[in-house]
Amino acid sequence: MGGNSLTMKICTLMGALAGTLLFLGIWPLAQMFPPLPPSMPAAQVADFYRAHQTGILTGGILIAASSPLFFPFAAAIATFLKKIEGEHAPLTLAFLMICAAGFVTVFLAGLFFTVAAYRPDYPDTTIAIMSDIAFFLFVMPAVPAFVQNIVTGIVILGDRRAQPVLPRWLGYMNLWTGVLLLPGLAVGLFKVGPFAWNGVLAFWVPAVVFAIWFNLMIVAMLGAIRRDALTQA
Amino acid sequence: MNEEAIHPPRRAARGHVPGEEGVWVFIGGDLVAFAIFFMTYAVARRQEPALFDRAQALLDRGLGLLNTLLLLTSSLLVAQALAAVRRDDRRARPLLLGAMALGTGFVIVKACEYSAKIAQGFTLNSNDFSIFYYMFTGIHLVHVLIGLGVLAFAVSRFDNRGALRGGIGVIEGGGAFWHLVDLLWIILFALLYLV
Amino acid sequence: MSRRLTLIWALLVAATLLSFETMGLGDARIGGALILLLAFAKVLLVGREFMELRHAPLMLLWLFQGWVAVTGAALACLLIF
Repeated sequence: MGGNSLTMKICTLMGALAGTLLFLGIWPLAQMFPPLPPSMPAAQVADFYRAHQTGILTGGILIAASSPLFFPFAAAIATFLKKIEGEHAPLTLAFLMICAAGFVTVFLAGLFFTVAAYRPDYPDTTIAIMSDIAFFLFVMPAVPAFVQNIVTGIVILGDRRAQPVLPRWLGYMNLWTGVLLLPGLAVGLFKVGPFAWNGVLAFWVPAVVFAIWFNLMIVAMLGAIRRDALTQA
Repeated sequence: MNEEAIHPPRRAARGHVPGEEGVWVFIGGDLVAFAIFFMTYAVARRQEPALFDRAQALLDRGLGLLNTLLLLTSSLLVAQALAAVRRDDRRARPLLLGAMALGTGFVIVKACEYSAKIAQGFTLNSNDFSIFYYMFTGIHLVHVLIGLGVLAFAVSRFDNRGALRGGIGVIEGGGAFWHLVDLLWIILFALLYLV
Repeated sequence: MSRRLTLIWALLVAATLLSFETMGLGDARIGGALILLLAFAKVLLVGREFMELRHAPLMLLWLFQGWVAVTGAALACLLIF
């Protein structure tokens, strides 16, 4: 199954590419990392977009471009989950739908950054609203991410093989990630403090945890591809 | 399930990891995250000590105490259940069911406490303290609910006669998670209700 | 039933009730320090006895005890001083 495992490897690495593009788009280009404070007045937000127009527009392209590249990555995860679940695979299907919904928001976030920066002569409040939507699109999907991680964790831990398809610690990793992403769900309630969208608990902890999750998933999946976990019984 | 003996693990000079090692990835990760939660709270409290004192005084400390006792006792029953499994004692399953009943009691008390607080106008966005109160206890409550699921799964590992099928690792690992829930509440109770 | 476990539980309950009574001490600082000390002593007991970390490999045991010490000390510094 040499060809098949090459496809799996490429799909997995697409995730690394997507993550890199997303990070480059948000951080050095758009300079939205860390996010603009939610408490910033509309006039200042608008001025930030006007002053960084080119960076935000090119950043928006990279962010929007990264979104579809997450899908082959999710498909590779789903292939492993399907292998574990067998013929009837409800949790794999649930995983796929949640992932699709969750990663589309990345595309939309890039789109709203672009719209906000596109016409500098828009009124301040218009630009600020677009900016708010973009940030909510980044942080609020904590909830689908939570469900996605719990589903992934349950499938990995449900593997009864003597040599599991994916390592069991990865299952626990997923559960841990899910729980820590959860504070993102309440960002709509706060403008300052740890639970606001630039706060320690709603932004920094989930961002770091997500990065750890993402990298360990890639490492563990490449390991499973290397030992041909998909072709074994 | 690995078919390890149901009997006490033979302990080499040092070192039996309770449950499978992966459980400790979760527990360790959770402890680090909650340490960050606690620090965030302490830093915020330093900035407005008077407001935090006033808001804390509004909490029902009696209910907090009751919940602490519920979780401590529940933890004891889980620890006793593990000891019973090792002795091949058939009381392990009823002990786990008892622990689940006490855990459910915790959830009910918490629900009453939340509704009483909301009725008094003490809501999520009332002040900086109430944000921490609801978010931390809410995240902890998610842990309690997951823990109840884990205990239910552990109970399902016994056959009708009350003997454990499969390895003891499920009971050890699930128990360790339930003690984590207890441990985090001990600190939350001290921080939010008492200090 | 294991007597050791029951004894640990009794200690935990006693420490809980004791920390509940510190309000009567008057001085908020001493009370606060005592509450934190009791809370982290309870955490140590739960970890070592109920979680069975006292039988665990030394690295796991000391990772846990280190967490208790660092978290407890940091909270004490932030809340009391």
